[in-house]
Amino acid sequence: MTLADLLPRFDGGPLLSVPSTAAGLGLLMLVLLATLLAGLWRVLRGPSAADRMLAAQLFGTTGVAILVLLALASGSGPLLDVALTLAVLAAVSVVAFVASAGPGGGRGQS
Amino acid sequence: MDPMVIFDAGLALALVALSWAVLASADRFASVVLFIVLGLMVALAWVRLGAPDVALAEAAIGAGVTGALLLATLRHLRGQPEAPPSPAPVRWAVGGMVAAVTAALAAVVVALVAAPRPEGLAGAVADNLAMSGVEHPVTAVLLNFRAHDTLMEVVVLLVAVVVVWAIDRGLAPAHAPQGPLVDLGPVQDGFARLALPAAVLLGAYLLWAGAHAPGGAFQGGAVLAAVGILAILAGRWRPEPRHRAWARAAFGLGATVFVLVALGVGLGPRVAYEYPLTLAKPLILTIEAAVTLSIAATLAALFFGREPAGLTVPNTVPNTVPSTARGGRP
Amino acid sequence: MNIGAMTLAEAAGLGLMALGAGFFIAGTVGMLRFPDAVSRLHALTKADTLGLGLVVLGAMVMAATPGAVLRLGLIWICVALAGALGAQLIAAFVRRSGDGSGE
Repeated sequence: MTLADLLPRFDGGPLLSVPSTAAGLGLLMLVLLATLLAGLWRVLRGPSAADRMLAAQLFGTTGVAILVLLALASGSGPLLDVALTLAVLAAVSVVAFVASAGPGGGRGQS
Repeated sequence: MDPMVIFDAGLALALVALSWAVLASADRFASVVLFIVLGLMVALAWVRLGAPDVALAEAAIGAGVTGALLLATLRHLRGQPEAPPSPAPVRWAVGGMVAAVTAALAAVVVALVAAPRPEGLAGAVADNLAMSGVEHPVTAVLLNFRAHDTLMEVVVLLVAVVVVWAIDRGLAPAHAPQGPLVDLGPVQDGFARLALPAAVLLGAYLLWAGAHAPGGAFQGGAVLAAVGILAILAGRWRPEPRHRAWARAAFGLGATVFVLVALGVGLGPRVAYEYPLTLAKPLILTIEAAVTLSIAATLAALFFGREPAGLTVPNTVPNTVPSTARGGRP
Repeated sequence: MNIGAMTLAEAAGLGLMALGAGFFIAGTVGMLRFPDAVSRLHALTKADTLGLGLVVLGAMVMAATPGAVLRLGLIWICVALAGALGAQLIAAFVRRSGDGSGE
């Protein structure tokens, strides 16, 4: 067996398709989307910049979870790459926020 | 009822509501956070529309570049008063224009639903995919069938960074960011040591995957740009004047390789970008690798926002509470 | 939903994912109801690590191809690390700027 034989298995081809669970996965996605929409209240209300930023962080994680469920429901491997990209870059916004907020910037901006 | 129908409806409503909230929010910071969330929702919407390539680009740009760019912009704006609202006639004119565009789009959408579904170019792409040198139809279109368009997009990015550097020469002292960057402390340092190589790997993987699956130069480049942004934010890398020659080379590399391939192919019996079948894949991968590097360098430079030319280096303040401040706290 | 047609792995996967979704609900309720930023941070990190961890575990059970399991594992590790870092950075920011801490 050569390396080339192994590589295609990691190609993001079709996953194991699980149509019998599609309805269950769909319900779970609905639940996650509902938590996302409910959480928007915290972004709108604040009160501080830190509150808004931590809500955004939670949404990023929820988005990753929804993408994982979508990948399973559709049997599409590339969607896992989308989720992976979101996951690897999940910290960039928070780092940018804290790095550029400056001392005491939380109240100055909100 | 299929739960996905409800999911799609909820997603669509959320997109409209979020767009409204971004524009209507009185708080600048809330607007930025809402815009970041909107980017996430748009990525999900692209997935539901069956366009994982676009979703991947939106995820990389939205999560990695746009959020950081807008938050850095807030830092530049700090201490400046909010702009006064535009005069009423201007607002009404803009509102009328937006309403007209919306009405026109709605009419088109309604007409499209009624009209018979057009053939489109998907069949033509699928028929000729074997001649393109790659297995993924989106990459075949971007780097082979419509390579001229992609070249123009690369040139647009190049022009953007040239203009940013040129503008900065005129108003460098006034343009320097207000307030110091925050020192993020040891936890961030450990994270960066793990995350930066991991993100570099992901960027390279997306570039490689583009030949046969969603991915490619733009997605890979955006992830690599996020690496640069994270490195700048974390203070692990600071652009300096002596880096400028390398930066210029990186900005121009993609467009240069792209044009050289066109000339190399076009000077023979073929037209530009009509690659010989045996060379198609190596040529496409060469172009994509060069364009990835250019996109990464350009987006990171746009985030940095100015030519690194001997400006005063902002000193840092620690993110942890210094003992003196703790004592002075009420 | 057609329970009868599910294999054991699918049922177990769905169960794990439902448990994970429960943590997302709990995290969101905590984020909405807790009194100050530091407590809300607490709610956030539970959803980050446990909620997504369970969803990923359920997905691994369901889609047992090596590529998918590898990606899912990486996804969880990255989000857990980012969540831990984000919570630490935001907490330090809250202390430094003195807002929302209720002290």
